[in-house]
Amino acid sequence: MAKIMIIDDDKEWAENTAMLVRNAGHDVMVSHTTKGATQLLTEVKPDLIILDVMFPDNPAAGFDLAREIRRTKPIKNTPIILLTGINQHFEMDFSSADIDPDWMPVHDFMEKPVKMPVLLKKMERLLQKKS
Amino acid sequence: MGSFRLYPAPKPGDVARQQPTVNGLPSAMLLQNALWFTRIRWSVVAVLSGFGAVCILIGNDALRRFGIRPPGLWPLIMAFILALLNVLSIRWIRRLSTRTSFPWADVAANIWFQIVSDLIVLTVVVYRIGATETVIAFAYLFHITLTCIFFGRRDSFVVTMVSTALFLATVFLEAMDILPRSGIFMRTSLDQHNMLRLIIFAGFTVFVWFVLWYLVSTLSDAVRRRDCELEAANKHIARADEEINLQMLRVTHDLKAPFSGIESNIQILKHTHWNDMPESVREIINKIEARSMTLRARISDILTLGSLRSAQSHDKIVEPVNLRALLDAVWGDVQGLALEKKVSVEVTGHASVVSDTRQLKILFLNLISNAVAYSYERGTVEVAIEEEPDRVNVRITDHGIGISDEALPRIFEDFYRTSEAAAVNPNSTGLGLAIVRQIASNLRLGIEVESEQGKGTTFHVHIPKDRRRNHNGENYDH
Repeated sequence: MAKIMIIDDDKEWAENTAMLVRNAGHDVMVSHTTKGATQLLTEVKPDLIILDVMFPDNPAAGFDLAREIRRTKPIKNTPIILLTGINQHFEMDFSSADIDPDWMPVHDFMEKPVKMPVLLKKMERLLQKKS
Repeated sequence: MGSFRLYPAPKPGDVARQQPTVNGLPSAMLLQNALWFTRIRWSVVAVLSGFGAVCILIGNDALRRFGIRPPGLWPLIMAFILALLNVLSIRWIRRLSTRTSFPWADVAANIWFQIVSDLIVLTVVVYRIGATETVIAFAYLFHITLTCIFFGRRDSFVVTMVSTALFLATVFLEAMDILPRSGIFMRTSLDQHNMLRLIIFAGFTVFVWFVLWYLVSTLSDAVRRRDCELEAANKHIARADEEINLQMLRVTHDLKAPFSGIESNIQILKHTHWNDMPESVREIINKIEARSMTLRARISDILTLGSLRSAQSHDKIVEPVNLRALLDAVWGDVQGLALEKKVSVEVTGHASVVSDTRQLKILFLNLISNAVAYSYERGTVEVAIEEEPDRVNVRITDHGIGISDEALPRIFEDFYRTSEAAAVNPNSTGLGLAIVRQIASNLRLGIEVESEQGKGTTFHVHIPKDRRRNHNGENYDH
């Protein structure tokens, strides 16, 4: 059983996903904001983070948090799966190919709406790699 | 969610009122002009040296025969002093140029050094050539005019006053015999004791200077003020663009979020209570899911099309694009759909073009996902990159349902779907090929379609190769 942290401002989606991830046998925590998230993550030390890009106060808050995580020693190597629902309409178009230690320091990337079996498969792969 | 800020368009003149006083050119431009100023000075050094040398060659007796007073060595001495001052100015400018940033005051100090040293040298030259018997005094106008352009009215007025003071002091000291009488002609107006003529000449000269100062400084100020207005308007437009983009992001996020909610709730039902539900309920849930997906895809396509239609030519990000890498990435994105339909996709060939990666990606995503969606199960889709002398051709071929001859001219219309297409792909929005048409128009691509009903369709995308320069004029042709 792994500790998973879901950080997404869409409460309904986050809670539903948390339920499905719990059903897959993991311990899940949910946060709806990136504010104070680094502190929380340092305390919880999750095995994997599912992180949304856009939050109401900052359209790139997910990127900022991912970069902050990489600078925070106890959690710097925690795998991150980045999620977005705003891709393709804008020039900030990005994909798995853009994963980069400085610009997009995450381990995997998915577009919303997320297909649960695909998310679970990606999670298992990253958790296996971590262990 | 979110906030809204309205930026009303500025009225002409409003921006200027918000701007600080226009004191002169920006520092980078001022530095360029400081360097240009030193180049012009070399020609003055050359003229003075040439004049001195010619006078020596002709000889004093010959000069006197022409009524010219032999100048001696002063032209050469003044040329030497001017050259020395110029070398100092150039070294100063080079030191400033090596810095990553330089304050305006540092560059202005260099130009002031050049102007003051020029005015001193010029006053000596004016005195030697003849302050009132020649028109050499009008050489002060060069500095008055240049200061009006480089700096504001106050500074150019100071230069006009200093020039006037130096010129009138020379005339006065000479007239009062405090300075020995000088001039290149043997008989001077001072020799003739025509004081009235002297006063009229000096007064008229200074009058012309002040009129010219007033005209040039007023015009230069107006031009600079206009520059400031344009710069502020540009900044305002850029800020408004940024705000629109942000609002679009928020609107897109807010429009799509409910569908994520609906679909995640359906996933909960499917993963937790699916087996407890009767078949009829499951069917309804599947229909809700399908309609939700269709509506989300339609919103997504409408937003994409809107964003592409509002994009101006300067919105294109023109850069080298590795087509093979781009098509492999697109293939990755449609892999899920291809696996679902058991359709294999084969990408062949390599080429690079200069274009907009984002728009090309959307175009190929639409064409390849269409090819997969309208293929028969276990079919194949071939994507071939072919390099031709003046263009790159990307050929996307499927062996699916095809398009009838009647429908073919209409496939790029908004929301157009044939009944066969709607039957095979009920989730289609009918906007995919409208998006393709818009991108083709934005990027000036050529598209050809060949199709045979029941046998398949081939799209040819022609990307021109001659667009080697981007909109900033940078050359990609190495």
